[in-house]
Amino acid sequence: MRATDGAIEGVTLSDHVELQVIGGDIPPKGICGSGLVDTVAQLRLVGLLDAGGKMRSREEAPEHPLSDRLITIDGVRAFLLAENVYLSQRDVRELQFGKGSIATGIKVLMDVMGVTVADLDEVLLGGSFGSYLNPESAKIIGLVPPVDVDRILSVGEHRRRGRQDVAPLLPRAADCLRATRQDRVRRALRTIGLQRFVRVGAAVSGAGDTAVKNLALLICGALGKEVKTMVDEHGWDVDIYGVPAMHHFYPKKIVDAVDRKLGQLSTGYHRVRGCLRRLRDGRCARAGPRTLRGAAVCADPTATRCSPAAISVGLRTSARQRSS
Amino acid sequence: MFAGSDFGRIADERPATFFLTDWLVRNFERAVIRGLGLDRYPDLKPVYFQNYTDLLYLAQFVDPRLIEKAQEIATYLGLPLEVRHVGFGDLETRLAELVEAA
Repeated sequence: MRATDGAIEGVTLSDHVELQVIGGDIPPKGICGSGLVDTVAQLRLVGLLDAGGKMRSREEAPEHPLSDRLITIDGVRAFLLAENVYLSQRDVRELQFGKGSIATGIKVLMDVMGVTVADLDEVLLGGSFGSYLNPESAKIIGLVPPVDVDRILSVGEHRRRGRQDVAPLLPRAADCLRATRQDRVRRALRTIGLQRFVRVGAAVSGAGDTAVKNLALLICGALGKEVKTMVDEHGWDVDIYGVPAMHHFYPKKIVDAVDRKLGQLSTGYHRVRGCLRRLRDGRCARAGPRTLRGAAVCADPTATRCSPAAISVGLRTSARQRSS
Repeated sequence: MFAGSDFGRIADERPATFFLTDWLVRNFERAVIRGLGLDRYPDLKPVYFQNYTDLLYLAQFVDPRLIEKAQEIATYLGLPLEVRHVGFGDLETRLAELVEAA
């Protein structure tokens, strides 16, 4: 809800629930933005929310002092903050989407500018929402880069108020983006796993780009360090993806894992390619040409009996190459 | 693959060899002991390992800590340990073929 009377704007969880309600001593009617961020951060801190954002159920946390607050509304998990006011699993997911896009934006900017968290002097929260947001909570949920809390500052609505000391910072970031060659932005995007969006853009423009690597190596996780070292030493322009090494104990899982991974990668890479011809159980993962240009490498860590046949590639000229 | 063409020969001469790699040494506890359930059923150890006579560690990186750890594994398995620094072996050649052919 909007940040008006009756909105929960601050939450502290321990063995009980403490609420800060706008308008003072009145019954809470809903949660506003800062309260939402607070609640999620606090749930995370008291262990009722896992790192992936999944809420625990009462059955999963029977010993927890707040377990009687864990409820189910129409089959959806929720945390009861006050009478008739609860935060559902769905609310958490929506917050995650929003948080993800903001955090990604920050990450891309930082990558483009070539700075790391250690280089940040201050994190400035703008906008009216920013001025109410609890910096600590914003940091806990990963909305802002992990700097010391006292370096996360709310600057309010700087533009409207003409905060000259702050406003110049934003144009600087924008200039930096403009001035930077587009492919650098693409590269920055790629490192955080947004290949598919970048790829869509590139396909439309038809520009020959080198920023996105052509080749994906899908490897057995047990070879991760080795392959990464070789790729670095040779300076190969490839992206490395792994399939969990522990699947060797359940070889059937390898096929599914490879299949799934190929499915994910097919949106990110040029074209066509390869299947794992032979896995240990002889089944073929994704037989036939795939819209993936990649290769798969597999080793058997349990005996290191990695036969050459376990490596296979199916090469086919990509549509792009054929048309050129 | 790490052992290259030697692998076939070793497998012929000493078929009862249990192989280790860097990864396997690093993850022995997780992959082998817990992976095979030996933490829960320690009496299965002889069932899995009694037929092995040798332990050959094909090392990729030179790392004294891993060798030390391999020694502990040898003690655990009760097998004589041999360490060979084989580097990446055929993996590198094959990977190069693969990448450069693309």
